[in-house]
Amino acid sequence: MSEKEYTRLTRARRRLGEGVLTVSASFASLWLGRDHLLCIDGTGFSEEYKRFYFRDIQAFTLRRTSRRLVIALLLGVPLALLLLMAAANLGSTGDETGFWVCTCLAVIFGVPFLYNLFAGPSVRCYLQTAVQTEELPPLNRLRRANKVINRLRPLIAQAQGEISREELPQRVAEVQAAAAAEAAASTRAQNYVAPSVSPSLSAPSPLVDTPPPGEVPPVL
Amino acid sequence: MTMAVVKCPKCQSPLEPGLFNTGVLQPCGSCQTPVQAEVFPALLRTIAPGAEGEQVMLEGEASCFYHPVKKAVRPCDACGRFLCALCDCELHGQHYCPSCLEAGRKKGKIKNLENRRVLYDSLALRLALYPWLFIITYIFSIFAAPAALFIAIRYWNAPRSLVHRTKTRLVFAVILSVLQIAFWIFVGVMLFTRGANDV
Repeated sequence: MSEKEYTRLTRARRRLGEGVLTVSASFASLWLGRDHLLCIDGTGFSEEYKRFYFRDIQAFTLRRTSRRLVIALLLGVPLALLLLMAAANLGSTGDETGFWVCTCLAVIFGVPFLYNLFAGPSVRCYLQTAVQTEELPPLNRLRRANKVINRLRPLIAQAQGEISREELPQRVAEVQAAAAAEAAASTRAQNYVAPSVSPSLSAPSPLVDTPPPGEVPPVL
Repeated sequence: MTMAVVKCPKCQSPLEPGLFNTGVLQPCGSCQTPVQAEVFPALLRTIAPGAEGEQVMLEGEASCFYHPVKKAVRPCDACGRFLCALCDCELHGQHYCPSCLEAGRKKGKIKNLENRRVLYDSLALRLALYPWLFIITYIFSIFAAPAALFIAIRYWNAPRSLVHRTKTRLVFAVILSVLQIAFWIFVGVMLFTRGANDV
């Protein structure tokens, strides 16, 4: 039954472009399946699904962005101006209508301003597997991303096993050393040239001293 | 063999293993962007090279349907054709041949391979609703309402979203489009009768 197959992890959030405020037309949401994480990219008329199986997830990488600051500036500047105008209307001119208009507009800007402020630092979250690195747009705040990662951690540990933080650098170094050694061996094998046929059986090399034609070679 | 590398999302340089699983944002050694990496054991897993089909050694030995010179190792769970190690595609404990896998993906029979769905319920509802959002565009409902009704009926049993969704959108689309069609019929009849009376 599809009702029990997936549990919602995050609401749908707009997929961001490469720039700070560039956005695309699709919304992405995250869902928790029995053995995988499902990322749904929806346009309203269709949905695209990406499944990340717990056994394949290698890493989540978070990168801090300046989106929170930009949004705070974009909302904060008009909010401050509106609050100043409201205060001026009430204080100097005594215009109550102007005061209420400015206050209502300030509320329209103020609510998202406060939400942006209290939602915490903005980040971009990437999920890495052996064959891809995919951005997860719904995890665009640090707190939310950590919450989801902490929820997924035991499920991933169940599928992959656990590794302590202390032994991780050593294991990584071992794997990297082994990979480097294998790459070096592979390079050596590619550069290795098999010895050609014995010079005595092949045509005389110009580097070898050969008697000129007509001259009898010395008998040893 | 894996390289066990996690790259900085900003500068793409490999992150130091000391930054892994700290639980806080720390500056990347190369670009100083605050990053946090949560790493799991799959990063350290070695990737086994892909299997190659074994050559048939004896006369009369079962061979692969797709590669007659290679030894069959198991039948396809969908079509029963013999497969060599190269053609054997495992998916959640089931073994498929490449053509059954492709067919299953296209026809939506293998649910885990389905990567796209059209949401006919949303399409029908928007067709029924959107023309009435603006005063100027309501006239388009003459065409949009029958189209919404057709889509709602035609795709009544089509699979909806992969995650839980009810038929509420389809029901609303049918109700709205029927009301709109009735409205336009009423308007048409009114115009016709008025025209006939004028004549």
